[in-house]
Amino acid sequence: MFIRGFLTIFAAVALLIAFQRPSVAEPLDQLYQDVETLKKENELLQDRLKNLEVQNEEDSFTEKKKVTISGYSDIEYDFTNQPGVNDHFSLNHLSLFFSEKLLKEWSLFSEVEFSGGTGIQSNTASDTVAASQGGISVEQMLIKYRPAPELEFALGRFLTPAGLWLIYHYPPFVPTQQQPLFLQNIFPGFSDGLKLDYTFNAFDSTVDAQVYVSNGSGNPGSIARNSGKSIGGRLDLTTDISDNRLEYGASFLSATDSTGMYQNSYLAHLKFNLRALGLQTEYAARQNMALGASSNFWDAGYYAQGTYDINKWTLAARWDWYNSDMQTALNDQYVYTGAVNYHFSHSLVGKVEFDQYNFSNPSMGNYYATIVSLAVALGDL
Amino acid sequence: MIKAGARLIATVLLCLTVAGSAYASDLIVIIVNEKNPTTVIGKEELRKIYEDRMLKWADGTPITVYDLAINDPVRESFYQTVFDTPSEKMAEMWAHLKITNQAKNPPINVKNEYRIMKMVSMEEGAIGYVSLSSAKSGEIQGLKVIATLQ
Repeated sequence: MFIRGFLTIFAAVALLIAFQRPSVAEPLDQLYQDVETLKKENELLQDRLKNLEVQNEEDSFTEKKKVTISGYSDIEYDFTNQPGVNDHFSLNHLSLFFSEKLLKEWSLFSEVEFSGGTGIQSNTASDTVAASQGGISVEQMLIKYRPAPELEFALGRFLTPAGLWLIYHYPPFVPTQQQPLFLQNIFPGFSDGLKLDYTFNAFDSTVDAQVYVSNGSGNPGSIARNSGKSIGGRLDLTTDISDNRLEYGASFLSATDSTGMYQNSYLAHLKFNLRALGLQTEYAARQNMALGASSNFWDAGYYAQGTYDINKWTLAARWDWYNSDMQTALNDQYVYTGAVNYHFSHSLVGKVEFDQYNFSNPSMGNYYATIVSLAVALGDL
Repeated sequence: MIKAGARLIATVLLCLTVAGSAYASDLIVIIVNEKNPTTVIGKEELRKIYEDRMLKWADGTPITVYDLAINDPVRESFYQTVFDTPSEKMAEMWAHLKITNQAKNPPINVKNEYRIMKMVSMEEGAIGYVSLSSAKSGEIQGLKVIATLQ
């Protein structure tokens, strides 16, 4: 009796368990299925989100209808013993760049520069903006047509294609605030005209050729006083030597300036990067001939600059010479420069620079300048 | 208690070390569109492309260059391997080329590797670099690996 009762209860419990099992497993299976479904949905949603983000980026690339604004600025403090010059702060530049892709092959690029602490007004009536309050200039303004990646036509105002420093001179990206002496003496800083740029590869070198016709020296604006147009060109070759880079080339400009002086300018440049070590040097000379005069004279300049990068630091040294009339050594000017840069980022650099100015002419007093500066690049560069 | 703390710190440090070394050891691959006839590319050509000195492929197709954001570790690894130069130095070079109006074919910076793969898969002349693990994920079709950087 007891056994029968026990077996009955046992059978009932067993049946109960047997029936209950699937009812416990079912919700678990269901949960697993739900989790799997959610996972798949999540993956699909993530993929959709990525596609939407990419589509958004593509749209921003393909449209390119917006004007892009960028620029740079540099501020410095100068300590100097130059006679008549006090130690001073200087808002050297604020340059704004505007660019826009007009069509697939057409684009516009411009640079408006405020230099020397530009102020529109001065408290002193005799002050001019240029003399004491800095200046405002359009440094570049180009309408560019690029029918193929290697070919570009540019019409407007451009940096005169000559050598290295005349083009690559912007304070956030060069080690010194002071420029080599011959700059803007032998070749004009910028030119108004038409420029053709063609790039091709030959014998393991990349060749960049530029030719241009412009108003020439002394005629940067709309008042071209010279009778003819100036013609110039630049050839630049870059080649890899092992893992290092060698760049070299030559430039030429034939022009008549606004005083009627016929000038032929020549320049040779060389740049070599050996890992962290950089060497850059340029030699420029100009033949000056007054129209109708039988004699002519040459002015010339040269600099050699070495740089060494150590992590965020750059050390630089430069030897610089210029002679405004080679007929006499009394016109020799020299600048010896040493500089230390600290790159906070690729767009912010602090610099300390020492320049010693020496003159062959005893009537000109030698002097030094120490410059502490901060240069920053702005916008999407 | 002190022992447990020391063990925890040691474990965290070990994890960080392993994670760091795993990332650093991830290879970088150069990808192009699958329609690109180029099958292999060397460091010298890569340097030319990423330095604005090679603008077209051998068949004449214009090259579109894709790059990652300046502080991306994969980008840093790419520039250290190909140029032996920090990524920021290259960013400086491009910024200078752009403001002097000398840049012919500047790289297009995108936010992540997924986008590089997506863009390269859609443009015939495009080139980019991603980590091997991203390339292996197989998320995007239409790509071809033409170099693996050690």
